[in-house]
Amino acid sequence: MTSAVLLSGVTFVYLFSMLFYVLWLLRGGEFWGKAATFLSMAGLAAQTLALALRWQESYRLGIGHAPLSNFYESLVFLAWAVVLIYLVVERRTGSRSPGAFVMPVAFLAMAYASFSPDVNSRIQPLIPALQSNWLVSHVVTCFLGYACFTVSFGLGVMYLLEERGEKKGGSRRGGFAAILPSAEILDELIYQSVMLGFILLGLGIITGSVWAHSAWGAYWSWDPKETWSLITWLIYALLLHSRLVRGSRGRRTAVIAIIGFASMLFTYLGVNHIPGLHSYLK
Amino acid sequence: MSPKVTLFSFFKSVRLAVSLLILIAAAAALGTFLPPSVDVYHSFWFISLLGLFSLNLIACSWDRFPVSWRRFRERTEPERPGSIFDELPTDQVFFSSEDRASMTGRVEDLLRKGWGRVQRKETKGGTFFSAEKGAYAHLGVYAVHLGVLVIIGGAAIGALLGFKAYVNIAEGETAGTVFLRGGRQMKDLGFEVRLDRFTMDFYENGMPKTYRSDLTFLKEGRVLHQGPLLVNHPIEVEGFRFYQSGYGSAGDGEASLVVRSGRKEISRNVREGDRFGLPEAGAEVRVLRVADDIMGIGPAVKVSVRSSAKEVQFWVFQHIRRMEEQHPGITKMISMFNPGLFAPYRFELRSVTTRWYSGLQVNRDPGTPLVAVGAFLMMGGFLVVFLTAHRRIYVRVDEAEGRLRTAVTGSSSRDRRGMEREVRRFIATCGGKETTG
Repeated sequence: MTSAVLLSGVTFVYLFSMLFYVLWLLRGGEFWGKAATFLSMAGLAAQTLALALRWQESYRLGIGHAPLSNFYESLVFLAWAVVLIYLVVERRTGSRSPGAFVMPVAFLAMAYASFSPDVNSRIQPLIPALQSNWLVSHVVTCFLGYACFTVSFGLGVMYLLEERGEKKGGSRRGGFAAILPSAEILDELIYQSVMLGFILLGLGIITGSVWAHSAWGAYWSWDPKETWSLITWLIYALLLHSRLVRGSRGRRTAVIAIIGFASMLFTYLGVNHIPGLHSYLK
Repeated sequence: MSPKVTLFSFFKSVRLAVSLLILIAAAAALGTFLPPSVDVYHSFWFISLLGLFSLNLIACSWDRFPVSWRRFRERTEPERPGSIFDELPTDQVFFSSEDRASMTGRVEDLLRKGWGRVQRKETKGGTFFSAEKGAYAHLGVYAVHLGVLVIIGGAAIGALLGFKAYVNIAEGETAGTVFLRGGRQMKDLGFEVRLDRFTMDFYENGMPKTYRSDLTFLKEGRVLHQGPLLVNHPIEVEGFRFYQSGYGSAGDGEASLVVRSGRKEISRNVREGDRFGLPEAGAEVRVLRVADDIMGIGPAVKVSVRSSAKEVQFWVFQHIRRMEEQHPGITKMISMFNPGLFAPYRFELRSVTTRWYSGLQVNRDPGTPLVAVGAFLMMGGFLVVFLTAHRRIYVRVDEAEGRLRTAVTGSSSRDRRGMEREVRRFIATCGGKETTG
């Protein structure tokens, strides 16, 4: 149980990290920015440790498996991946402003996992259908993809705010726009995170198909989760296609990144209310 | 314009591709909200959309491929017309005092190591080099398109030539035919499957751990294959794949019954429909039902006891003691649950040995390997499209102001910033760092 306690602690670390990113964005001041980055890194380290502990605990219970097998564990892994991808972006671009838009998602996922009465945080053994070597690669690729889409969603929202600010302020950028990265940089970042997410979700769908081929007897069954993951993937395919073929940039990219995120959320959460083969998440 | 050409220009349009993708995604989404009986994904119009999309993909690729192929094959001319070297930023031009032969030698050497297809040209204006790499970046998109077409083709082959069927086999029994999905049609396998044993295993908390069918595959009395079938571990025999997909009680379990009266005791192993006598009472017992589990209470047997005086029917539960503890007086309130209803006899159920059946799914899908190849092609293509670029680098070595001047520039089909970094790196290794400007 140590891991669950540690993970609910991480929830608060992410909460404060998120608040500091917002403070930094609104009021400036190096201190808040540095504190926010420090907290998100410390939270990620603690969460990594907690995941390792949980893995170890499952072996002590005699049911050893990677902590990727139920809804609680998927939420925790999603938050972990979101923070990881975000910190990579922050490091590569040297810009902290996406933190205020991305960290809330990581915090909400952790809060939902830790404090919702509907989410069972116990370590459970694997039912026969989940006893497969494909479990880890399928879940890891899908959720890293989800994390990239979460980051691109945050960037998409920033783009729209930035654009509004640029319009209002004319040559002098006012309001939010003054502190956000330029539209051009945001556009490029959205493209890169969507591209990475697209490849990862593609791999997730493929590993899922290979798995389904040996578990369900068909590589594709039009199960609601399969179908919605394909729809999400097609939405991002459209974004990338219109960019590469028609050179479309900017607003259109940002808007599709936001629509794609909504579809991703439905794939992850909404679909569980439709009966289907992926019913392990209840 | 001939109608043929117009048709082609309709199919090759990117707008059509985008509209079709949106339609397919919308139709797929709709299908998840409709009841499964409305099978959108195998409906004529959904398949037509996929067919149209395939035609569109072929037309688009056909239309653009020649251009990409030319870009892939074409060698760049080292001496650039209009000179791209004239207005370069100062950090892409450097001067040095070494002799021209050693500089051109080094440039050519570096280009050969780091790049391919090096070309050199001596003119009055100087020594010109060009080199390039990643020309295949132009072809990535065709790998993606081909991959998608191969996947659709593989799915079509699976739908036309493959099948999905089910069969339930009880322990000890053999099946040679299976039921095709959807219809009442049967399919002959050409060999037989025998279920030797079905076993289940549970975790301590009651969650299922293993479902296992021990199967023997027989053809004309010869054993083709023998082994356990587990979830996630299908067995392939003669091109058919078998999956563990369900189980249940075959409904003809054997009950171990004991009938007591005073100190006397009669033990019988019975199945549904069996009869045996209670000679001292001049009565006959008929076994009406043998159930592995009734209402979640556990195993039970329903019997009818008839003597010349009366006939009674009642259930005999294995866990009657626990039931009486939980609901005191239950056998008095519900006479059907009273195992002593035919006094002075009292019935006891020792156990029910269940005979299980195992539900097997049997498939054949000759399109699967094609789908796998298509997926590989598609993902490989995406990696080429997103991560590689056709990069060209141009170098001119000439003399200006009495010194040796080297100018470097480049172009890229994608990722201009990466190209700029590469040019700078080339200048640094070429020795431009110390003498920049």
